[in-house]
Amino acid sequence: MDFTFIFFIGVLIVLGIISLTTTILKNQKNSSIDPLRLDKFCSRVNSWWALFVFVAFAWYLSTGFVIFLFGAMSFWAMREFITLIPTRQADHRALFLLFFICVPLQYIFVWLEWYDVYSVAIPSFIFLLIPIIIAMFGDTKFFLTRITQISVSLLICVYSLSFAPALLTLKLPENSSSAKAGLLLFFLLMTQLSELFPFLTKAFFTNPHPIAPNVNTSKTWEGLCFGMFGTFFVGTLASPMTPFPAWADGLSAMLIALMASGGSLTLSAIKRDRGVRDYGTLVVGHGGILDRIDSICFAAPVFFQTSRILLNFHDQLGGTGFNAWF
Amino acid sequence: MPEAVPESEQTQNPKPEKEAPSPIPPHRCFAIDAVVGRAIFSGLSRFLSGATSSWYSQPDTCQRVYFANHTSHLDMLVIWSAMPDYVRKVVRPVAAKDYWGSGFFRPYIAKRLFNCILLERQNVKVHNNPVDEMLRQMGSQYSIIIFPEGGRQSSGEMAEFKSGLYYMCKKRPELELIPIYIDNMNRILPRGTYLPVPLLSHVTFGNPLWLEKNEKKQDFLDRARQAILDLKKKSK
Repeated sequence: MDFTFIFFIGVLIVLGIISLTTTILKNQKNSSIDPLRLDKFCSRVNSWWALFVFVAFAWYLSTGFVIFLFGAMSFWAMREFITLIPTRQADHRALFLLFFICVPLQYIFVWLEWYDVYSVAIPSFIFLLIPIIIAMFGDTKFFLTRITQISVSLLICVYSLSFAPALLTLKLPENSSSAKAGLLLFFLLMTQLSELFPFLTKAFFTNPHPIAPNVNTSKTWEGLCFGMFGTFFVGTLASPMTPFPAWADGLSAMLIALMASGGSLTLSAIKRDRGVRDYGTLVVGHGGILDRIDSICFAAPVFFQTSRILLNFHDQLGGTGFNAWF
Repeated sequence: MPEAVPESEQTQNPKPEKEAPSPIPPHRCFAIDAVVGRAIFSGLSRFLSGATSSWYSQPDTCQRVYFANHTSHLDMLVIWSAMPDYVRKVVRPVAAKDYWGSGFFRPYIAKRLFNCILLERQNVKVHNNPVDEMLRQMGSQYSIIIFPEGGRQSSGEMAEFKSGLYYMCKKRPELELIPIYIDNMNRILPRGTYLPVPLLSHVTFGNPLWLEKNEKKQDFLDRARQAILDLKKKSK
């Protein structure tokens, strides 16, 4: 039996238990749990299911389909982000290009595995093209603010997120769909655990120290430390899912945790600035996808690049495998 | 509106149609092209506007006048897609005859797909004044969607209402007026552009209001306008 498969089944069972528990709690009358918090937790559990299904697709269906799903998420996250920021009519054409040309092309390049294109096209070309197009319309009011906001939204929602499905295009030593799905599962699991572990610290610390009290009081130094050590531990244990040695997996898991917590903190700051609580409450009736994927967006590029560097080392060592490093 | 091309032949020889609309309009015959066409248009508008909606009043098939703020070409479609199917069957959007009545494709969309009421905008005389025409085509069955500002606004602000709404209610005071606030559409497809940017919008249907007895024209129009502004405040 493949380790990744066993782990996958394990995650399935855990998710099933969590879903069952929340369903029972929801149907319980006169329960002492705050229903609002329960709802919030349920939406989180649902997003875990969605991510889990992504991994299953990567395994049994095609890589292309997973890339398409991430592309759709990117598109939706981007529209939430742009709805939030104030744009002017002169930005209209630039925004059209971003939504209907830039987003699809980025994911098509990922699908074609053109690393040289998708890793540089946005920073070296689109970031410069946006100000040009906007300047052409001659509206200079808040010009610098507008181009910065649009560029940042593109960076977070499209460029960074596209590295998550790009994990499936890496050339692994054992080139099977199970190995690829394992790498994606490892990454998604670590990002979600880095949110779950700080949540558990609330039980141990009565008076935690928030990192930035006026941004988000639930992001604490204790939570960050606990999250990083927790993901280091789980990352080392889950190492057989990836082709890398255990120490490397532990360290990259820690890096993922750091970036993921930083990502949710950053998006909280953006929300505070614009005066909304959730991207979901931005327009009535929309579930905020950006609330769910903020950690994935920030952690994806760094995990992709570390994996790529490790794989290059592996190739330079003559394909003897990472076992030689012990 | 910039797209309004006056058709001189049509406007010089208006032919008022005297017969009342048939109880089952042609587009309700569930011809495959009409069903598919409507599905395509409502799907497209939902995709482009991420349209969600909320009702303060209940959706109903009684005779109503839906009035909304107007900033975009997609407004009518977005309202139409936000309605449940049984309400759509009795709703007729109001459109300009000079634009939607000319060519081949536009009358097809306006009449067959959406069962629009087409109104003259030029050469309005006593015998074809828009209010009477609207009321005649509404009969005793249909509701209508109108934009009382008279045109799309390029800024996000609402203009003063035209007086047609008042004269209509004066003739039919029992009509329910439902205010509708459409949020963010001026960023999705603003006036003067034809490329949509798919941001998120929201349609809010308010509580009904009626013309009070002895209410002055300006008071009534201000009250109706205020109803939409209140919805705007609530949706923020």
